[in-house]
Amino acid sequence: MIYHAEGIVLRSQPFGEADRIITLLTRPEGKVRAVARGVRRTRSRLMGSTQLFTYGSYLLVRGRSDLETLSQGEIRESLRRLREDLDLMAYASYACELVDRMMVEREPDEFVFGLVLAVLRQMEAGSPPFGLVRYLELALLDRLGYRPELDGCLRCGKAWSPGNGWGIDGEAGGLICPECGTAPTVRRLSPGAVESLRRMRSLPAERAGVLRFSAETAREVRSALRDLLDARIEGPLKTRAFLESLEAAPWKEANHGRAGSD
Amino acid sequence: MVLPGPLARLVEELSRLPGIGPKTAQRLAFHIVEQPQERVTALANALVEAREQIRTCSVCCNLTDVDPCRLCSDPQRDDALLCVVEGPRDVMALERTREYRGRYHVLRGAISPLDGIGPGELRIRELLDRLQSGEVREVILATDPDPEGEATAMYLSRLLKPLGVKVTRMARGMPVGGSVEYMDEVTLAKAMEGRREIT
Ligand SMILES: [Zn+2]
Ligand SMILES: [Zn+2]
Repeated sequence: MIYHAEGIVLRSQPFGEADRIITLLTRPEGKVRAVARGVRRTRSRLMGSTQLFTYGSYLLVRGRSDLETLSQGEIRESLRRLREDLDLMAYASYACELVDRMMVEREPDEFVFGLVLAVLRQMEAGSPPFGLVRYLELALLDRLGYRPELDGCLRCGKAWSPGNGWGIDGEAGGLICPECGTAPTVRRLSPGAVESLRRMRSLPAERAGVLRFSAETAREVRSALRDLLDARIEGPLKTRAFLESLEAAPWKEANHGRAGSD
Repeated sequence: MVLPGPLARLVEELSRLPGIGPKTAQRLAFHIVEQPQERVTALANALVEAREQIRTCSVCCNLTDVDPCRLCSDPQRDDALLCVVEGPRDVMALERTREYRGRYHVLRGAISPLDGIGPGELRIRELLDRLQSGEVREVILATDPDPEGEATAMYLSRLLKPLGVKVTRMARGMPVGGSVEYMDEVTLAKAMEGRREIT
């Protein structure tokens, strides 16, 4: 089978002497892995369109193996800032690893494709990457059948109203009210953090770039989403360590006040 | 057909080598067992000796059989210039140009968040130690012009700038997404000539 597909390069790994295996999130076929032959040679036509984070049009050949062969590729949007800025590279890598880990091969999902493209585009355009990856985390959980309960208590059903003592239980997958929140797995959240999570859900993906948090809320929202994700994903995400090492890098002084970052 | 034990073990060992699939491993294994005994002994000895005698240079972190390596102990080289590359084969490629007369530092990899390779996995500590002496006036970042190489260059640039040393990036006379070790000599020489300061 030969097919045309719009796709986003989630991963690009050297393979053999001159080839690469790229992981593409495609619109019509979902996540696929494809071998790009000779792409590491100087004059390969495929070099540009197989760069990490590229949004392109691809011609793919599916044989009997689980690996497609990339026959042609054309860049639609290079999204090059994501490769040329260290922080953006770290955030975009995290976004792509998350998608790669959560999506099953060859299961098309038009919504997720649009979501990932919207997130990467806004990141490229300069929106705060912190909010964009938090949005992506929640949107993926919602879409892939792990929709966290954010409207009320998971245990007793009490509706959320802004107040102290509420928390999130990552394992159980949602909010727990002050009365039910005695288990050690419950992470306490400020009312502002819960409201931020709820507001994120109400935004369309194309507007996720507007998300900004105070330093304290940012930390809470990140931890809450991490609890929810860790209960659904096996093993650690490799890109998380790098993001954290950047946050602790020697040239970063106390810049917690910076919008979107923490 | 079931392979005899020793042959199966050889196939297994060979298929662990990079770029060697199970089919190639079988082809190589059958080839090896049909060679004269002395050829195979020579190969085995070469493997063991290389592994035993090749170590990491305590100065530049390149692979070497003497420590410090020949490039580090060569009095003709310019101590004020330090070229930072990803791997030993990049040093070989740059040496082929005969354009560059400074010293090298080999990181033994590049930052690759998706592979879980961060700055801590690279020979950056050793690089910082080398800059302590104050002899180096310019650090040339010659990592690959692909996302991992660029990320590594950006990281190092941010780390080194505050130390007051001039930091330059090898110019992109090379195609984006390429790899230093596969570049021809002319392209590499041009790229080295047109290096620029990194912002
Ligand atoms: Zn309750
Ligand atoms: Zn050396």
